[in-house]
This record gives sequence, C-alpha cells and structure tokens, in this order.
Amino acid sequence: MIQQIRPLFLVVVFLSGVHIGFAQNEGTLYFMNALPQVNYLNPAIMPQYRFSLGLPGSSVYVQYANSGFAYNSFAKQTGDSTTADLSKLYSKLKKKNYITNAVQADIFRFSMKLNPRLYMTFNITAKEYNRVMLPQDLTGIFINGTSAYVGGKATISPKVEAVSYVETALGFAYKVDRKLTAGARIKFLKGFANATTQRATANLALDDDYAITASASADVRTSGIHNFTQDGYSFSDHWRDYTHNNGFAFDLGATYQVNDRLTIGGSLIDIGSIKWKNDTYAYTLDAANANYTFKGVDLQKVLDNNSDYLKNEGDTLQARFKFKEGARGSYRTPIPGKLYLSGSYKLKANIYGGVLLFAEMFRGRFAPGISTSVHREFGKRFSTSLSYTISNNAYNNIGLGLSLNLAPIQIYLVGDNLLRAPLSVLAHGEVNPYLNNMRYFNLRAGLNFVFGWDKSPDKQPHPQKQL
Amino acid sequence: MNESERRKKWLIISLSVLCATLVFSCHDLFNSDDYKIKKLEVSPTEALPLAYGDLSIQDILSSQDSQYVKVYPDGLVYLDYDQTLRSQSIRDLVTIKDKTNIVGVIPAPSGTLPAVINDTPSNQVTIVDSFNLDPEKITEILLKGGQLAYSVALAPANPNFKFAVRITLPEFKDASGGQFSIETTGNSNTVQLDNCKYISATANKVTVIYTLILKKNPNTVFVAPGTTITASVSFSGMDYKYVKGFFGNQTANLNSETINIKAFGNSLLDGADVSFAQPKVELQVINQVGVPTRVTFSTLEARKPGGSLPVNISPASPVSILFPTVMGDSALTAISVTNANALLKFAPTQFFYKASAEINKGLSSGNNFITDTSELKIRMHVEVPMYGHASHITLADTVEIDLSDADRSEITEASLRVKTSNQIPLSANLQLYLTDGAYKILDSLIVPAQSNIIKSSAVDAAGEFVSAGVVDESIPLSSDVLKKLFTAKNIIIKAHVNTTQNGNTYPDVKFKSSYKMDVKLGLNVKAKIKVDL
Repeated sequence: MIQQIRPLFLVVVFLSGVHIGFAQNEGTLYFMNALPQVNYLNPAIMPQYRFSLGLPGSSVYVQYANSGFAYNSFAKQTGDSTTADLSKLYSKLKKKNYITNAVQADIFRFSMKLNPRLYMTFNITAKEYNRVMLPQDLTGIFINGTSAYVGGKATISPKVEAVSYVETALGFAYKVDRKLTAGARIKFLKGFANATTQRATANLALDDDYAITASASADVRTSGIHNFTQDGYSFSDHWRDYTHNNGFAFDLGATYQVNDRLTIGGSLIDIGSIKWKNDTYAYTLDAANANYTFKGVDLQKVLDNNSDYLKNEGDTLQARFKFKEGARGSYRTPIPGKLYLSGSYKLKANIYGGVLLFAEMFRGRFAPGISTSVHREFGKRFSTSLSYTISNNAYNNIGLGLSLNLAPIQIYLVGDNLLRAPLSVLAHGEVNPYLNNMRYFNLRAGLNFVFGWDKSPDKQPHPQKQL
Repeated sequence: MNESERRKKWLIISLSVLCATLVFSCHDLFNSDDYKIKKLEVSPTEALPLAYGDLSIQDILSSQDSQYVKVYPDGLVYLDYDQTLRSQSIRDLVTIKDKTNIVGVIPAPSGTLPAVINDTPSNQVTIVDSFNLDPEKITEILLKGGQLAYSVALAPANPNFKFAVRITLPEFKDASGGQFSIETTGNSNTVQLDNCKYISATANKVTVIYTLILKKNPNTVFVAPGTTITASVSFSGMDYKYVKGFFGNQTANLNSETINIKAFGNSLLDGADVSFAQPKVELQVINQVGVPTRVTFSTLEARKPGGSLPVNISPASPVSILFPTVMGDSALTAISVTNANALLKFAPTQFFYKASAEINKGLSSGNNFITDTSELKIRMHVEVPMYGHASHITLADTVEIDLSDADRSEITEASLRVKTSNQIPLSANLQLYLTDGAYKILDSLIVPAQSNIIKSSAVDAAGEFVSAGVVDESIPLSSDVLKKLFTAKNIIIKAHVNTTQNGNTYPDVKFKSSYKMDVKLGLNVKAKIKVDL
C-alpha cells in the first residue's frame, strides 16, 4: 500500500515546494459522491443517485479568496479602537496578490444513469468570476514610500479579470472496464460581460539621485460594460446584443481503481474560451509614449525665469499617461480552467481518506493547492466530509461537507473553510476571529431532487461500491 | 432501530440543530465594532527629486544679464556691456533766427502809360541784408521748414494801374533747384521754404530783388507822379536739415546722463572679494557733428546705493574728440578707464556723467557742418573676461513657510541627497536658515561640515580646467532642527561661493563656456503619519 501511495505523496511534496496556495478550486466537494454536483469537478465521477434534478437554487456557489492578506494583516487593536497598520499589511503581502470572488448558480440541471456503464449530465449554470491582482509594490509605494526603490524598480500595475457567462453543458461518464471510467463534457458558453487585462505594465524606477522614471503600457479590454456608462442606455432595449458572445469549453476526466481500496482520478475543467463581440471597448497606453522622468525642478528653467515650466510638465505628464479609449473589434478570452488530481483510499467501511491536488489556470497564472479530507457516509441518509485545505497562502482552512439525503430531497452544504466559524463561536463567542483571519472561503449549498440510490457494487466506478 | 441507526439519527439532529443555531444567532455572533477602523498608521520614507541641471557659467550669469554674456573664440566667457547715450544739446548751438521786414520801395513810372500788350518788367530795387547769426558764419543751409511772408502796397491807390512785383532771392534755390522767385499782385501772402536751399559765398548774407512788372493792359492809364510800390519779405521759423559754415567758439552744456548697469548690481558681487584679471572699461565718444569739439567731464563717476567712485580716464578731461570731415560720417574717440578693476570691485549699479562740449576752441574759421540728426554719443563699453578669482560671494533668497497646521511628529528623519559633478571653478556652501516672523534665525538645517554641496573644479597654473569637483553625499538634516520647521516662518537659503581655493589663496581661474556643473538634488524624508478616520 505504501508503495502505491508514494507517487502521490511525491506529487504532493513537489507541488507544496513549488507554490501551494493560490487556487480557487473546491477541495471538499470532490469526494462527496452523494452530491450530483461532484461531477462538476470530474466528469468521470458517477454520482450515487441514478437520477437527480436541480432547479434554480439547487446549487449556489460563492467564493472569496485573497492570496495576500486577511483583515488581521493590517488591523491592530489598541485598547478599544482599531487601527489600520499599513506597514504590517505590506509585510504580509506577496509580490502579487490576487483577490478573487466567484459566484455560480445552477439554473437547471439533471443527471441520469442511462445504463450500468453510461451516465449523462446536463446543466445550465450562470457563472461569474472576478479577479484583481494587486502588486505588493503598488501598496509599497504608498506605505513605505519611494525610498525603498532607490536604485531599483517598483512594479505597480494592477491587473483585472472579470468574466460572466452562462454555460450549457452536456456530459457523459463511461465505465470503460471495472477499473477505468472516463468522462467528458462539452459546454456551450454565452458570455455576458468581460473585462480583461491583455497587457499591463507600470513601473516606477528610482535612480540613486532620486530621479523617478514612470513607464507604462496597457491594453485593457471590456465587453458589455462601456454601454452602461452612456447616458440613456437601456439594457432592456439591447439585451439581445448580449447573446452574441459565444464560446465553447470542455471538461475531461478519468478515474482509475488501482485496487479494492485505492482509486485515483484526474480532470481538466473549463478548458475553453469565449469570443467577445458585443460592445467591445479598449483602453490602451502606448509604451512608446507613456514614460516620463521627473528629476526635480529644472534649474535651467528656473534660471530662465520660465514660470510656466512646471505647469507644462504637469500637462505633459497627464497627456502621456492618458488612456486612449475606443471601440475595438472582437477578441477572445479563456475562462478560468481547473485541474484536479485525486486519490481516494478506503480506510474502513464507509470511511474514506482523500488527497486532492488542484490548480487553477487562468491568464498566465498557475495556482495550485492541496486538500486532504476524510469522508464518511452514514448509510444513505447522511454523509459528511472533513477536510484540510492549503490554498491561497492560507493554512487555516478546515472544510466541512454535510449532505442530508432525504430522497427525493437532498440538502447539502459544503465548503473548504467552514468549520472554523462554529469553532470560533464556541471559543470566543463570536465569529470575528474566524473572519479576521479568513483569506479563503467557499461554500456550495442547495437542494437537489434525487432518485435511486445506486448501491450496485459491480456497477460503480468507486471502490466502496465494490466492497 | 438498532443502536447504530439511533446514533446516526442523533448525530443528524445534533448537527442540524448546531447549524440552525449558528445561522439564526448570527447577528449576535458578529461584532461589527471590530471593523470600525478609527486610525490609520503609515511610516513612509519618500525619496524625492528636488532639482537638477547641467549648468554652464552662461546659465548662471544669464539669469540677469543674458544679453551681456559673450564668448571669446577660445571659449572664455566674458561680460560685454555697451550702453550708448546721445546728447541733443550740441545741436542747440546752431539755430537760424527769424529775419523780418526786408523792405524795398519801387518807384512806379508816372504819366499816361500806353497800352501794354504783354507783361513787361519795369523798375527794380535790390536789398542786401544779413541773417542775424553770431558767432555762426553760415554759408549753406538746407531747410526743412520755415516761411517766407511777403507784402506789396501801391501808393496812392490806382485801380486802373495793372502791375505785379517779382521777389527774387538770389541766395536761395527752390525745392526743384531753380532760382527762388515769386510774383505777387496782392497785398500779402506766405510761402513755405521746405527743401529750399540757401547758398552764399558771403556768410549769413541775404539778398532780395524786387522787380515791378507792368501787366498786360489794352487801355492807356494815368499814373500820378510820386506813385510807389512798397514790398517787404520776412523769414520765420526756419529749421534745417543741415547747416554748413563756421559755427564759432561756443560751449554747450550736455545733459547729465546715467547708465544703469544690471550685472554689477546683483548680489553676485555685493560684498564679495572679486578680482578680474583683465577687465576693460572704456568710454567711446561718437561724434557726428563736423566741428572740432572738446568734452569736459565735470562729473564722471560710478555709483551704487550709498556710495560713488570717480572714474579715472585717459586721456584726462577735457578730452578733444575727433570729428567727421564728411557729412554723414562719424568719428570715434576712445577714452579708456584706468581704474577699471577698482570700478568692478566697487560693483556699481550706475555710471553717471555730466559734461560740456566746447566747439572751435581757439579757431576763427573752419568748415563746420551739422545735420538735424547729428548727435554726440557717449558709449559705455565694459568687457569683463571671466578670468580672475572671487571669494565671499553670497547668494541669498528667502522663502516663506507655514507648517504650523502640520503634525510636528510627522517628519522623523530627513536627509539631502547631493550629487554634483562640477567643471566650473566655483565652490558653493549652502545653508538653510530657519527664522521666525521677524527674521531672527532659529537654527540652521545643514551641519556646517557638510554644507559644501558644490566643490570647485581643480585648475592648472593658467586657470584652465583639470578635473571636476565631485560630491556624492546624503547630508542628514538634524531631527531636532526639523521640528523647528513647524514653527519657522521663513527659510533663508544662503550660498557662499568662492572660486577654486588653493590653500588660503584664490588663484585666477577661467570660466569657459564648455564647463558644466551637473547638479542633482534630492530629499529623503521619513514620515510617521497617523490619520484619524
């Protein structure tokens, strides 16, 4: 058994050493087979119910992630008052700090087992994803001043990504043999609005004589946003325009039953893109123009009694760094893709241990994370998961998953950093300690209509069904 | 229901109750006071560029005297001042006075005169007179203004007698160059003399010829015996374009004149010990009047507020100045100033002179001329090669400040970043003095030992550049003194400037146009900022 686990352990160690802690994935949900939504993370996983139906509200997912700081990273209690200690904040920040929030809601979903080897899923889901990257230097300039950058350079350009769309997906999981199950899902995407930072650089360089050189270049594109800034624009008159942003994506996944106890799996989720055509607008800065060096007051001008000099310099600076904006042609952006690698091991009857490596891949950022969990099923009525997740540079994420299976109704709640909330209440009488240290939070909750608990051991791809 | 199923049931119920309790008691579990941030603290250290420049000596000088800064072919910078004053007084020596009532009485032919077929000249009277000029002896005048008034009267009156009088001025040419002559039948009239020329071999002489003209008349007419025609002319308001002749020995008191000199009035040299190696100061008299003239300076001195210094000249006053021999030319007489160095050291703001001009001293004849534009101009020419030495030059300026509203704990440290590379043989010590409202000095910001922010270049024995003076330092500003910034009302910025120093002496150095002073100044400030929100 040790021999079988070793490769997985090595992968975990490797990823940990590289850079754990930036992903925006779901770690706890992956092993909760009772929930039809587990299939969102790996299309090869066949949920335990032969048929399930989701109506609006069947699955709502919210996520907040901040790879740089929590509230306690800058808030300082002095007596009864709270002070924002920005120097403390700076010391906590990473070079690049990503603040992400995401929302998903199922509009319609159903899944059904077509035959012992084939499982079909269909869903219509609205998704929104927003991410801001704040460089540490951007805050450093204000918090620590420019002195720290003498002889060096501060990189201060933030980057923004925002995408909202509706996906309509049809997927199948197919049991190839007793050990291998493969899954795939094709997604048709309708983009609603987008903001993307195609290119953004902004640097402040300080010479050892304190001369400051600012340089920048940017290409920020939006779709479906600029119109809302125009007087008299009515969305109800133009809603059809928002149906022109089409895209496709796919999910791929597989699980493999190594032996009676161990099952491994892997999946690629949301690999695709959207072509934005509606109300496409661009905000650009040309690097050839957007640069300026301020060396102080030009003594030559002072000696020449050129009183307009500083005003002219101000005008020049403003002109050089003024964004050029205008309508542009269509463009294409990817959607946030995800990678999952899993290992599930049956510890005892109805108790499983799992390790999940996951990563988000989006706009040049590869953000891995790791989650370990213990999953227990209390018959078919109730199942729980307890997880520990390292994500978003946060090491205090104790996740919890609860699923109450009162067929045909299934109520569930699952998240990667949930359990510290009640623990905080129990220990401190309030939820504040939990919130103050929180950098990562996700929650998926809802109500499914489920039918047909499938216990057939020889027809399940997961090891527990074969016992 | 077995024991296992019972345990599951209670577990489900317990968890449900726990979740419900958490959800429904949320408003008590959340303390919003934690998130009311009342203060913000930050301690930035800002590195700020203050000033920069790649300055030459021309830039430094040109702030006030750009038009005076020039460069010799070898690159040596010099100050070149030229200021010219012109004197109108000498023209007043020659004026053409009015000449009135040059009268001639022409006897008319008497008896019964036959019919006159054509106008026929008759009797003529010539009057020779002189313009009232003394001591001038004028032989030629080109008039640009003046009137000739004339009148004719017949006595006794005889309306049947048809006549005219022709008035001829032999010394005058009309504007077209012809003999000046007019014919009149009326009583009185006036003609302009513009562009008429007077030429007479005999100085000042004026001749008038009155000629009676019998006018065409088909009838006979009786003229009583003793009938006369009285004619007269008067010259008035005559002004000239030029006058030639001999103007006599006269003296004109020239208007007193002042030449303002900006360059020597600034604080660059005020109170400084300055020595220029080869300064040149001279007066140049430009004479456009064709008359031997001698100028006597009754006062010639350099002035500045609170003092004056006589200007010594060579040749000494009175100075005989050259004069042109051809009208339209000018003659230049150079008068050098022998105490130029003392003058420059004196740092005057003005040159002042009062002078008189005497013409034809000791002469009784000559060919003088003057035009209506002739001037006696005195030009002040100062040429100061920037070659020499200087010390204790003080430059100062005062800047008002008011930081009374600022939190004095905000700035905890500060330093001045100085990076200079100086090819100019000037050294500068900078000090910033904090003063109260009455300009009483409270303290100084820069430690005196570090106030030498610009080091002079090294020079060789000929005063030529050898190597640049380099400063690359961060000069800490005392935190105790910084606190006084918040109570100070003014900052006096004072710079003491010297040329290159060699031990205790200041050798002569050259300031060439190619020498540059590369200056970069910055400020490093550490602040502690607390903001109540």
